[in-house]
Amino acid sequence: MFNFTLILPELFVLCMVCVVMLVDLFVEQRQQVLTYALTQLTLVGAAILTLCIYCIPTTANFSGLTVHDHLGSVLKLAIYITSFFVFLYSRNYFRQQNMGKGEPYLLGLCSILGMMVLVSAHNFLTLYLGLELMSLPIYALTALQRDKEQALEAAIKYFILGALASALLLYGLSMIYGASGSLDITQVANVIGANSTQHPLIFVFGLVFVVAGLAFKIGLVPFHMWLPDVYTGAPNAATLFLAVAPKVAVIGMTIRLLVECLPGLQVQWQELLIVISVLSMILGNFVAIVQTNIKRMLAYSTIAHGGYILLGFIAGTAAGYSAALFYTLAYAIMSLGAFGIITLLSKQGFDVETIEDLQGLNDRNPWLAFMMMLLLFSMAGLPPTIGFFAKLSLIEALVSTHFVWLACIAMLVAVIGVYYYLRVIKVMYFDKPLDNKPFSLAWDAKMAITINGLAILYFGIFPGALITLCQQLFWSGTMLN
Amino acid sequence: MITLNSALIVTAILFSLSLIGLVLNRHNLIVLLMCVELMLLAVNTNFIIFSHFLNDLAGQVFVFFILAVAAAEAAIGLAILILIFRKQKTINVSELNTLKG
Amino acid sequence: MTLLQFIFYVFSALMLLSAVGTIISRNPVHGALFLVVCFVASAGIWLMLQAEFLGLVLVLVYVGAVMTLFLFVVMMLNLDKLPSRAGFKKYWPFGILILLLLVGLMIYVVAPSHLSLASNAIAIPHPADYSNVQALGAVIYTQYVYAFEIAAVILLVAIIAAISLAFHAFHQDTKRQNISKQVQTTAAERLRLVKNMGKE
Repeated sequence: MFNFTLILPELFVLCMVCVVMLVDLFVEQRQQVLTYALTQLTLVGAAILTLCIYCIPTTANFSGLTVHDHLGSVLKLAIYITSFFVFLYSRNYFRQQNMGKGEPYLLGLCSILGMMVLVSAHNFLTLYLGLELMSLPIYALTALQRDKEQALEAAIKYFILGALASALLLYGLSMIYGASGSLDITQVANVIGANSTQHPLIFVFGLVFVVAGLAFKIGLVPFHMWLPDVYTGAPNAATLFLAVAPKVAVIGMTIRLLVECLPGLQVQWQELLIVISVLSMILGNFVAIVQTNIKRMLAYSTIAHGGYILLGFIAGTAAGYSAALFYTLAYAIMSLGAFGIITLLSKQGFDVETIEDLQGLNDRNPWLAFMMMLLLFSMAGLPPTIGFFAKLSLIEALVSTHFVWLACIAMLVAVIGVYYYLRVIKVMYFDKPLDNKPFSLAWDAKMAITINGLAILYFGIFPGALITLCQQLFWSGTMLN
Repeated sequence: MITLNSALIVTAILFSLSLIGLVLNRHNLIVLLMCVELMLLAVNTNFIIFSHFLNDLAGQVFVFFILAVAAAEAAIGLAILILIFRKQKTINVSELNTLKG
Repeated sequence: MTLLQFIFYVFSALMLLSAVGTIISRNPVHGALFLVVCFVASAGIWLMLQAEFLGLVLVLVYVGAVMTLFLFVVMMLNLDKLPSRAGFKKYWPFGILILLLLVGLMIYVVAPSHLSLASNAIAIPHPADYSNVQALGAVIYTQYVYAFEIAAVILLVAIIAAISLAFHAFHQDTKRQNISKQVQTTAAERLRLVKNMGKE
């Protein structure tokens, strides 16, 4: 029952957290090269370990507290890769903005460990612990810029609403525990599946709280109010961190809870998700139009993208879930690039905040402007980028399950969304720069942003491999129950 | 004996009270943190009630871990609160308004 | 009404009233003390539900440590005077409405006709020699060891985060010890012999 091979990546990251902590304490260094290198090494090592155990068939481990399956491994790999880029982009930012010695890396690694636990959780207990281990370091990361009022305010807002979300989720889980008598995801699913016709009302009551907690964590209407404020107020590097990998992990949690644990209540959660998703898509896209702050605009677009991801869950088929996962991965790559460029452009004492700060980026650094344009095209869902295929597969899944009206709404609001993304592109290309100095990047950042931008294009032109991978994860044979 | 419904209703009242406290409170950050603690208390009591009536120890184990996490959460929350107080000399929620939202 | 029921209702009333006190008190010290009462009352309820270990932990860890931390912060920041509760006064009818709605919903949901637990609400009392601590300990370090380790990491994160946020040592006006100076001190520096010039 206790197979330590299957949790090797987690063990490795945990050991490296301790190593990084001690090294950071005892090595006197101004540039933090060693801490940074060790952090990146940890991510690479964890990725190799995860790949090594990838082919081991699905097994529940540690008396069912955690599970080893392909879904978890793929999500973990996505988390390592995006986090690798996040640290790469924000390295300079951490150094220049006086965000402590090695703390950002240490907290980031702890948070990544939490995400790993979360995406391979197979019990409400590990789910909750993983969620908290993921969130607590991010609250601290947001507040790490200790002399900036905005950042502190964002941190406390994030903290209070995050705690509220966990409490709502826990209340719902306690109801489901009471009604089913178990905390184990498979057992709960079996109890609900056993009497498929009539569910006690208490299940539905618990489900409402669980969905509310999830919506809070993803940042969906009507539980979205923290998201624009936190994205705007947090230091750019912290925004970058919390916008990418945690999103993937939370979607992983949603799959574990709704698809693996509560498929018996699909009719009920479908109705809830339809309301949340439609509201998020509409509000996110419309409010983003009037924003002048680029981070705030991207925050509202995040809300809208969250609404799109839910569409896959609403479809309720394997095709729908894999489309949702594909969209999540696509969104992770897109927001990684967009927030990454914002972080890279920030200099000492100057944070990129308004859209005007991007004015004439084409004159200052044409390559960076081109990459940003690709990313924004992808967010808008224009071909030939990955965002186009992500939206297409979602709409396909919806149409095949007769949610045509929902597909129509999704397409309509996507067209509205194109407007505000194009506005940013117009500012970058056709407005005169405020500051004529050409902007140059370090070689590693330049390479990373190039890979990031070309990934958008590559997966947009050849999406087959990634789509097939997502579909395989939801074939009936690969799941535990 | 204690009946299941009465116990659940008590925790439901406690949970909604703290939820309302959290939503309506506009004067003090520390009270917000206390409301979060109250919510977790309601959740914990809920788990213990179910654990008792189901004769299942898992609920109590869950509470054990929630207590540990809540303590960690309180520590981080108070650290952020101290930073805010150092910076602004206030913990009044309505005076924290650099971010509109 | 049996005696047990009576005790349960007393504890519940105490818990709910002190929760209200926490939420509406203007002075955070009073709020924290109300919260202590609330925790103690619910520890009583937990004991009645045969969760003895957790009831004790709630009093020892929560009241003893976490609430002390809260009070410590309140005292340290000197938060005794507070502005008026304008928002609260404006919105409390709204709050009562939500309360009634939620509680009404809950009463409806847990009504015996809707609630079908596996062992429909009959708790088997444990024998007198049953040890709750032993039972919990037996599973926490075996079945739940993975969760236990994660909880340990969470506490580590709390330490790292709290120190990296609130640590202020390299600020100019912070008083601190110079350890090497302390260690290298000699007896001659510490003790100065003076001749007693008093009357002999």
